[in-house]
Amino acid sequence: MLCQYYTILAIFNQSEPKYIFRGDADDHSEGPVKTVSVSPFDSGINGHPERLDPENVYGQFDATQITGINEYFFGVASREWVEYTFDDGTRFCNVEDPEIADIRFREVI
Amino acid sequence: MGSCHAEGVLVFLTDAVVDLGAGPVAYTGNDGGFGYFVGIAGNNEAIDGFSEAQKEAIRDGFASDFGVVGRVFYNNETELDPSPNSTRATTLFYLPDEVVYAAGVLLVDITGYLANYDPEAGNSGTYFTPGGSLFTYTGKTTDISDLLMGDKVLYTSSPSIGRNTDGFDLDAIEVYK
Repeated sequence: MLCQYYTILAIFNQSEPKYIFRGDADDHSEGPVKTVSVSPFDSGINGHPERLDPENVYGQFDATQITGINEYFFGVASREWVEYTFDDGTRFCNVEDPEIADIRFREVI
Repeated sequence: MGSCHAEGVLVFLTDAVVDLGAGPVAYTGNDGGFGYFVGIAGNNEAIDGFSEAQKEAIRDGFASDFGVVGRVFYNNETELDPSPNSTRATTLFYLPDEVVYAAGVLLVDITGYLANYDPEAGNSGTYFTPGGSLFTYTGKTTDISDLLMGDKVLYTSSPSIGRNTDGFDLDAIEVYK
């Protein structure tokens, strides 16, 4: 089974999980999160500046988010729903190891 | 800075493949119209501020609404970065065993719902409810008063109104592929 193969790879490669980040239609390369100034709040004037600090990025830009649904990576509630997928269509697996969280949701609180 | 009340999202998998005992097959259901329901992800207030019984009751309530009562879920954990001055928090989320893989993660914000369960925040007065459209959950009313009545109305603002609502904050999702 293909995914079991990936799972085995994932287990042997635990130190390098893949990260899904907010993506922009015009910025889908590796690198820090591209900040978008669209309102005082989002630009950090009124809060959350650390979320826009590239130092707080947890990895590389390697996935995309459906354009237009949630432009602001820290505000899921700013849209009805938001879906994250890998841009190359790659699937992600249930690692099937109780010691490994299959999904990690990270935030700077 | 920090969250003063529970925040959370319903978590669905899109294009999920499951193994119900006869080998991997595409999940043919469509829980709530979103995909395969795998539980609720929340901030530290939602995870640590609720009792296990409360969390299970909330999650199982949605599972019942989606018609997946028999699904075996795992409980989530919150992990705070021990580094000095770090405010990073991680929700450790475990998929039901029957899930083999999926293509994506779909999140529906239910902060308005969870906040009303927050034992510290109480039932009113602390959840910021700016103007905006409300998302209709399984055909139920979208009257904003329901946010304070415990009905499963999911909150979201319209794109034209303040982008940062007082909902679930997400900075990254980490998965294995």
